[in-house]
Amino acid sequence: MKNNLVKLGGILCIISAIAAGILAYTNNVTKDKIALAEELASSGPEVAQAVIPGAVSFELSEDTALIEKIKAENDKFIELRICKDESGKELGYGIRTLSTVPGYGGDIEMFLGVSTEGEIKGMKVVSHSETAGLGTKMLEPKFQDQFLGKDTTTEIKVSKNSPKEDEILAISGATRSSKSITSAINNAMSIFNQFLKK
Amino acid sequence: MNKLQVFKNGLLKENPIFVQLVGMCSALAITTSAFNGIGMGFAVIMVLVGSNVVISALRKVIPDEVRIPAFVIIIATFVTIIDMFMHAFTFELYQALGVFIPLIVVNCIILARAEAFAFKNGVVDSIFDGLGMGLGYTIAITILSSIREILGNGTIFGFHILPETYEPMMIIIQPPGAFIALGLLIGLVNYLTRKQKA
Repeated sequence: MKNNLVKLGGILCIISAIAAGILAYTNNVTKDKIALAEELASSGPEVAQAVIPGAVSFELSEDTALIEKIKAENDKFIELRICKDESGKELGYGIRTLSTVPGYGGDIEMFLGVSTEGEIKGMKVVSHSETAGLGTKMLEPKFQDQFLGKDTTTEIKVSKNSPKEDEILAISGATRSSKSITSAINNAMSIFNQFLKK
Repeated sequence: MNKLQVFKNGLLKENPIFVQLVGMCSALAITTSAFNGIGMGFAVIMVLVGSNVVISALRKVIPDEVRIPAFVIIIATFVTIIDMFMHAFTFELYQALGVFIPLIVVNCIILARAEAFAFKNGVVDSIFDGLGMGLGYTIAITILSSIREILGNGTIFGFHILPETYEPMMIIIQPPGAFIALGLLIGLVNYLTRKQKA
């Protein structure tokens, strides 16, 4: 009986050890690729282009004093990137923030592109957990283009029908997702107004 | 048993989704777009074939008393490997499927095939069984997700196929729609297969 226990435990132990070895090896092979994919998805050239059209470089701001100040005032703020074109001219800012109103599946994390003059140029949702096919319509240009060209000084509201100048049309069936992404945009705009506007 | 028969078993006669009704959790949750369906099906095929091969190769080594923990370790190892590879190489799909990749571990198709087939049959037969069952699962959830995507969003694989005037049926893309569509599909499959016998 005792012998049998040792034997059974031993076999399971061997199987687990082999499995752990294989997993360690796989992790070794894939970990750099995973880090690269995460990096590209959150701040690669495609993201820069979506945040401010024409931007080729998308560097983290080095003004640590400013970053600290924004972080202390705004707990949804994540990072600030400076968008520059090929000649190195500053086009605007990529402000990465969370939504202040949660969506259907939690906070939405996104970049908002604001030109140095204070106009919305583009955006890129970095992570979200909205319902596929409903909330995910917020990723489509049809919805996002509504924000383009808006001025950062007036807060944007969500309307269910016939939006006015400072309003956008909600996605039908996904009002919460629409409100959540709009709250993230408003938060990024207020960061711009408070700290970055010249 | 003939190998072709083993393979064909999983496709219709013992289709995991339509006939055995196993693996429902992922089938209901991720079938909001046809692309997700195929991606998930592919991941399940990989895990199923892998675990079937290893379990049938080790069936003389693993004592009966500890077979279930041994199965779980082997299955979890394969799922983790697939999870890492998908994270590294198919980032967008990985994000879309989210938590349902690690949850393949508890997808009962895999444990059911280990217990019912791989542990009692040879390696080659087990490969065919894994392929057949995996393909059966993939076909089933791809049909289900195509129906949901067409009716609920007017698209298939992201392409618009229904005219713009078509008002998408929101409920089909939401969780209740998964139950309704799956129920109708199972009914249809039952009707067709019964007719054949008569």
